[in-house]
Amino acid sequence: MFHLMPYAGLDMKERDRHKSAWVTLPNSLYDPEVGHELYNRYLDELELAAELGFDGVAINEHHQNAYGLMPSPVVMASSLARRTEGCKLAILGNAFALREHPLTLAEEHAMIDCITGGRLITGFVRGIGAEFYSMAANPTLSHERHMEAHDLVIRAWTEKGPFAFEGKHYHFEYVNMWPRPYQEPHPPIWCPSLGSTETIEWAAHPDRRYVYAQNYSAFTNVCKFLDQYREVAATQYGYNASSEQIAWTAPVYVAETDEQAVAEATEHMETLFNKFLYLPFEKLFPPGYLSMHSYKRVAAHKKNVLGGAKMETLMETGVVIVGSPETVRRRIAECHEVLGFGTFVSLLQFGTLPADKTERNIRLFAEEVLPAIQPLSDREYRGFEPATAAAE
Amino acid sequence: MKVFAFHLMPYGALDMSYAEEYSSVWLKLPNSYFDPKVGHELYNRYLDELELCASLGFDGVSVNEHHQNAYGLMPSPVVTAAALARKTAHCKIAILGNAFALREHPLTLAEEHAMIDNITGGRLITGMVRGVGCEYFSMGVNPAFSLERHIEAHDLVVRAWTETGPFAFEGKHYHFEYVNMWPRPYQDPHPPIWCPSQGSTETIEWAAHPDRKYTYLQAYSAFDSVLRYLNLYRSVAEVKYGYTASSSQIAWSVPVYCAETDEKAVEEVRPHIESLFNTFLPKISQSMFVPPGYMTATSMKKIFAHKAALRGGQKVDDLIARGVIVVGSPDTVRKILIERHRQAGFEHVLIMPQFGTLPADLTEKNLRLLGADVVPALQALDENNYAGFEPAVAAE
Repeated sequence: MFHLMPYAGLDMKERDRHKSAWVTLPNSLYDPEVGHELYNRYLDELELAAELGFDGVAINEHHQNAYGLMPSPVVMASSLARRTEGCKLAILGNAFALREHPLTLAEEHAMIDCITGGRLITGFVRGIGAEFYSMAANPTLSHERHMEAHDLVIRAWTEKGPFAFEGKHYHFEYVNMWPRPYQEPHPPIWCPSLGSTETIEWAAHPDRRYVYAQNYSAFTNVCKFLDQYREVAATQYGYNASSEQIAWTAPVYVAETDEQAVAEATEHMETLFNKFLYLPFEKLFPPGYLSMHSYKRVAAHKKNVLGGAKMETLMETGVVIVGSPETVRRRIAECHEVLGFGTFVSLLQFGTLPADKTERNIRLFAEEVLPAIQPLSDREYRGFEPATAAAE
Repeated sequence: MKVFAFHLMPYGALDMSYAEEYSSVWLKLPNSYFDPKVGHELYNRYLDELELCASLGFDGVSVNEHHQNAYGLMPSPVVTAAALARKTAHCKIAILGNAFALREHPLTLAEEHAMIDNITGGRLITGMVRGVGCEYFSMGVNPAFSLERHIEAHDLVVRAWTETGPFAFEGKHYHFEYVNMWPRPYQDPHPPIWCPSQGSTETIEWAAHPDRKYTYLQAYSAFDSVLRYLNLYRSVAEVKYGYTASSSQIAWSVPVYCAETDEKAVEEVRPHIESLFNTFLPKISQSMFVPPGYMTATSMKKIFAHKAALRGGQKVDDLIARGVIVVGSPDTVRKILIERHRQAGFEHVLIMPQFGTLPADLTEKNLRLLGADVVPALQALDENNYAGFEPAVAAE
């Protein structure tokens, strides 16, 4: 289960006076008393999911916004470390290259991995465009810094220190990480992405074979991007990607009946897309952030996250999954049959969805859906057909 | 008085044969000496110890930051503070400290502190430190800019915590077009700021400034040096700034060990406290402890004179005699700490109940004896038990 920890107490009238809930939305709209309640409620929700048998709980990083109150997922993962047992803690992700010193994050991930005895999953992200405004980082260097930070972190996690690192962007005379990570050689690395070709090709590389996680998109696009990963592995790199390398994230709402689920979720889901997620195009993709090729593709596929989303359309296009336990079970199983993702990341709280509905959603999902989808494996996957993938 | 428990989280399982090849457990000691399985046990044991302190009635628990060493396994005290956030209910959580200016982006720490302050409903204390000299080697940072970056990072963080965003910040070292912190801290105007230090004059003068009046925390030293630095703070407030410093602005951190009798305490603590001073602490003679440009010449001379305890070859009896540590039966420890408070009037004491190789059973015994027989007596102390500040004596 994935949580964004949105500032659900946001005054929507005030929100509408500003262009978006990101970067420039004044923090005077944030009330720490409300924030205190929300943070603890959200952490309770993740701990509940852990208790109810989810394989993992996940959080992520976003700065200066009301969409997700986690400028540091490290804080949340640390807080969950000794309040959960058995489940994975997935930071999906942390933007190593937004920082001038990516090793500070590498140290933190190593600490959490040690504390939890190896339950950490590390997500490497570049950060969405808005972050580059908040952190005053140059988006045009984002890709190469991302890769260099990755190389530095992996070396720091796996090589005996001290050693010197002289990169283009990072320079350290003494790299000697105390503590080293618990997992050998290091925590699994995932690449959550909006679908950039560079990320897919980089993650699928045989030296890495990192898990690629496609974030909320219309299902046809999810298919396109996840199949592209398998395609790149097969054609460009000559190996068959394992389904373990494929993950999909989607908002999910379960209630007793389809009608009830739609009625209860509509307002909150539309708030997620139209109030919290909405970013002006230049903030989402600042100049230089994407290659021209990716830019065109992403622009074509991400229309639905650019405001004016309607519940009906979100459901039809498969961006969200909403319905009775039977509907949700069937839908996820159908999608798995088509795509064979080894991991499904459910977003069970979104926008302004209140505590009682979130808790019921988590419980229904855990009791009625999890037992049906956890056993799904490659046996239920129709298999990858490169020809079909290319033609679509 | 408020009593805190401070933990360094040392790598107590260190293979001591390291000394045949390496002169220090800092910076260059290969991390192949760190076994993650052992580290897993230690981290959880140490966090258990702090949580036990919280349940025994300590007013706060405290953690700090050091990179690439076996002395303290917390390159990020944010991780340990966040781990404690929802495992403790009422006590303060003090990060003493975090080196904001070691980073090119101090706001990342400011965000993390604000998050912890929100989660805990305002139980956070923020320590702002420059980091010890070794940190500048680990982080590849120029020590010559340390002090001015420290001050600029502080100004940026306090503005980010208190002003409505977005605003632009154009400093000498830091430049941000949009500063707009989500979340803001829970405490209004922001979490209390403490300045842990080894006694640098610049830090004392900066912390005591009437715009700040930050709590100054003297880290372990011989007690006559502690007294000198704490009185220097009061004296600076009085003479330079014209106000009387409150005792709440004064704090002292000290390793403490209690056992059933004085003799037993000394015997039990000996190898472990000596390992702290002779193995884990950086040797002041080593250039990496005070890299060029890290301190003014004045501060450097003073610190070298007062930090004899950091020269290695320390013996427990001598450490006790000079008041660097407090060891004995609960009666003895209580009496000594009450007397220290009478002399220096600190409103906060940070007890370090685990150090070096001190094992789990002795640490737990120490904590339980302290919690039962020492902490309550200290908590009852206030200004009436303080001899008061005499500028003339302090100036000696």
